[in-house]
Amino acid sequence: MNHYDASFLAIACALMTERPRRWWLAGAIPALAFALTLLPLGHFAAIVAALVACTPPLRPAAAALLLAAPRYPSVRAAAVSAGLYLCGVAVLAALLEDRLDQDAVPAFLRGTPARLLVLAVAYFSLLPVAHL
Amino acid sequence: MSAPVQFRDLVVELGFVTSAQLGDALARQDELNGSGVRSHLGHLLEDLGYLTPAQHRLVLVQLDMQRALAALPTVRRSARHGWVVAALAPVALLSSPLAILAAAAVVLVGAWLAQGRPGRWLALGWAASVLVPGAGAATAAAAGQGGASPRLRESVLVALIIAVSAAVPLLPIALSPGHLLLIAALLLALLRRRPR
Repeated sequence: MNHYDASFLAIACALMTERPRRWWLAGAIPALAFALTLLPLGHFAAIVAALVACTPPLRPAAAALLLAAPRYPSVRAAAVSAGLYLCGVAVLAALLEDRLDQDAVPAFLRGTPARLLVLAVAYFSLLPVAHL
Repeated sequence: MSAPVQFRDLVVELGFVTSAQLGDALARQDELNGSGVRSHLGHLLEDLGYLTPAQHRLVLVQLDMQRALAALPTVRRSARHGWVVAALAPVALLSSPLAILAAAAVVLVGAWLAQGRPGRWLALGWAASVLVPGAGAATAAAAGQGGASPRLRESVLVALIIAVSAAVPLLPIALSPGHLLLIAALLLALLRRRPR
């Protein structure tokens, strides 16, 4: 799983589970995970990042842990991942979430399936950009 | 949480129509509703000549922005389908069948031992990743499950999905999160029995 995949799974996670009040703090996890790889910690870098992701302000920590999972090759990758997560949750949660729950959406797609579809379409739409 | 911003309030607040004009439009809307015709207040105001199409669009954009800003700090309550994420994560991280089976085992044992305690979930995932080489998926599954859905019934379902995904030879392309999200969306849509 690369950082791009992790960002989308984290967005899906944030949309479908209870978000902590300070959900945006998880946006700092990619930068932290990248910074830890610069230290001589070896495999412990991932473990330390996972521990930080489990700190109380980020609970429930599933989204933060998903962001801590991949290995970030550069600071740019970490920034892209954080940006994707923050924009994804903000846009999907704030702008689309209510609309996707409305009666205009067919009943079998309403709510979670529609959210996942939007996320999947966004994943494939942005994939070429991620390879630049 | 405060009540959501209404179109009727915003259109007056922005000064595009007066209260009297709004009253006219609302009365007309009641009439139409009485005869079984559903009509949008914005379109009615346009038809009555009180609102231009450009102003109508502006009000809708403002409405979206205000609702977005109001929704940002709130906490999402629904955790109904959190188990989907818990099942998706280890599949996306697929490394070896043994690692995937370890993830399924962690989810099952965690539902029994850790329940709603994220620290215990993390400890279990950590232990699994030490015992089973390359079991990073186990940690992710444990974390996902611990944060998403600690109930036993859903944990068994997640463990089953993970175990099946280890047994079924999926095409490599099907392992991208995009495909998994699509599959999950279609499965949820197909399995849905009644509208919310």
